[in-house]
This record gives sequence, C-alpha cells and structure tokens, in this order.
Amino acid sequence: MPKYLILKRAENDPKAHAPGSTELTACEIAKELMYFDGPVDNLMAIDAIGLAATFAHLEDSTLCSIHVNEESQYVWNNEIPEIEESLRNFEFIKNQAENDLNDALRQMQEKFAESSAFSEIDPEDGIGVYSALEALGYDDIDFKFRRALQKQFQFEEMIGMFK
Amino acid sequence: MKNYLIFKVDGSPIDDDLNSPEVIASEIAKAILEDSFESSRYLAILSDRFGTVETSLAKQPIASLNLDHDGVNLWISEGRKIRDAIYSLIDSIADSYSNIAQTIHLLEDICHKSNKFGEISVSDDIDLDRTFEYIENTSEQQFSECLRKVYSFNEMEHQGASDA
Repeated sequence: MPKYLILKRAENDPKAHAPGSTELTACEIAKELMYFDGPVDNLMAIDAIGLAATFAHLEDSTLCSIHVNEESQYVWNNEIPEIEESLRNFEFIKNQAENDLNDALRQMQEKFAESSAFSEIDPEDGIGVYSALEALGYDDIDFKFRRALQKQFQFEEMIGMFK
Repeated sequence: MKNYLIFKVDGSPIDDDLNSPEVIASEIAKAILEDSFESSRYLAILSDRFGTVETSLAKQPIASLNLDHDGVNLWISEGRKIRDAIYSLIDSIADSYSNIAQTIHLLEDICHKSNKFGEISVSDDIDLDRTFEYIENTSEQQFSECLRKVYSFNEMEHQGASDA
C-alpha cells in the first residue's frame, strides 16, 4: 500500500492535490487524525520514498505518515462518513437528552420549591443527569473509532509536528 | 374533614367539574399509588354515600383518604403542578432512553455493515440500562409519601383490592 508523508504546504505554494487523488485523501485523513485546524489544502502529501521524502526527514518537517491505496480510499469516501455522521448524531442526541432531562428536572424542582406543603422534598437527591450520561461511554466509542482509523491507514505521527 | 373511598375502575365516567372533591380525591389517589399510566382510572365516592350504592358495586374500595376544602385548594394550587412536573420528568427520561437506544442501534448497524470497522462493538462500551439506573428518579415516591400523610391515605388490603 503506498505510503505518504504529510507536510505543511508552504503559504506561497499555489498548488493543490487533484480531486480524487490518493494524495488528497491522505491529506484529508491526516487532517482528521491530527485534528489539524485549517483547510486541507494547507497540507501536502508526498511519496514516502524518494528525494523529497529524504529532504522532508532531514528538515524534520514531516507531520505524519499515512498509507492509502484505492481500496482504503474507497473506505474513506464511502464507509467512514456514514460512521462519523452516526457518531455525531449520537453525541447530538446524548446532549439533547441531557438538556431535556435537566430542563424537566429544573422545572420539577421549581414546583417543589414554590410549594408550601411539599417544599421539604428535594427531588435532586438521586438524580444525576450529567454524571450519568457522561458515563454513557460516548468518548470510549469515539476513541475506539479513531484508533481503528489510525490502524486502517497505518497512521503514524512524527516528532516534527511538536517542534 | 370528609372521607372518600377510592376504587380502581375501567373507564370511569369523566366528571365535568375537574375541581370537584371526587375528581380531586381520585387524582390524589392515582398520584399516591404512583400510577402514571394515562389509561388508569380511579373513582372516589364519599364514604357516607358508600352504604347506599354498595349493593350495586362489584368492586371493593382499594383505599380511603381525607379531603376538606383546604386539601382541595392545596391540590389545585400545588399538587397538580408538582404531579405534572413529575410526569414530564418521567416522560423525558423515557424519551431520552428511547432516543439514545435508537441511535446506538443505528451506529452499531453501520459499524457492523462496514468491512473495516465491524470490530467496533458499540454495545460493549455503552451500557444504557446501567446509565439510566443512575438517573434514579425518586421524586414520585417522595411526593407519594408526602401525600399519604397530608391526606391521611389508607390503603385497604382485601382480596381483589388491586384488581382493575
């Protein structure tokens, strides 16, 4: 499977990888896995074997390396978006549930507090919405998915990115 | 202070006056018995009248409670609002559980469908039942206990008392 080194593209470099190329896919994957905060065109992928790669190593400018071929490119374009959308949906639904439950809980607390005869009841005892839903395991799933992505594309972070 | 006998019935006639002591007594009984099912119906009869209608009733009362003018007002001004807020929370918990469960199944289906990410087993990491056990809602129970005292609720134990 072809291996690419991912580097930051020079600011004055007008080039960009061709749409549909494995190089562009490699940059998209790198952006995702490195949490790179910028447009994908700010990254560039070069073949891991060759003179350019040697210079990149010498300059310590490599951010990461990634393996991409047409098969894994298909997975990236067709399977992963659906999983990511589903993960985002899960997080959205979980957050919405937290908000809905807390609204309902707050409104109930207000009714108890306003009451003359029932104000001694503290319904908050035993109801921990945030702590319970935080423990739901969303972060574990997200982490596991990212680990699976790293494994799938043999993603390897380089020390250069920390310099 | 008047004493009302409470019966659990199927589809009792709806009283036009939602603030009548009979309707309020039946609402209080329903709240005390923590019966949030919409379809459950309770009927309250002033205990003084029970003797006159007893022979025509196939059911026995399941409980009794005391209700006077202040008790009626307390339920109208505070009790109903608290009951509705408790039911809202119960509904909200049920909706949240259902929505999250649905989303987890969807995510799991998508992962299983994938050739490369089928190994991600969502349900191994997410224990929804245990999570919702943590959201322990004791408000209905606490409210019920308080109502029992305020309205001197007395549950009757006899054969078939809990039959609808």
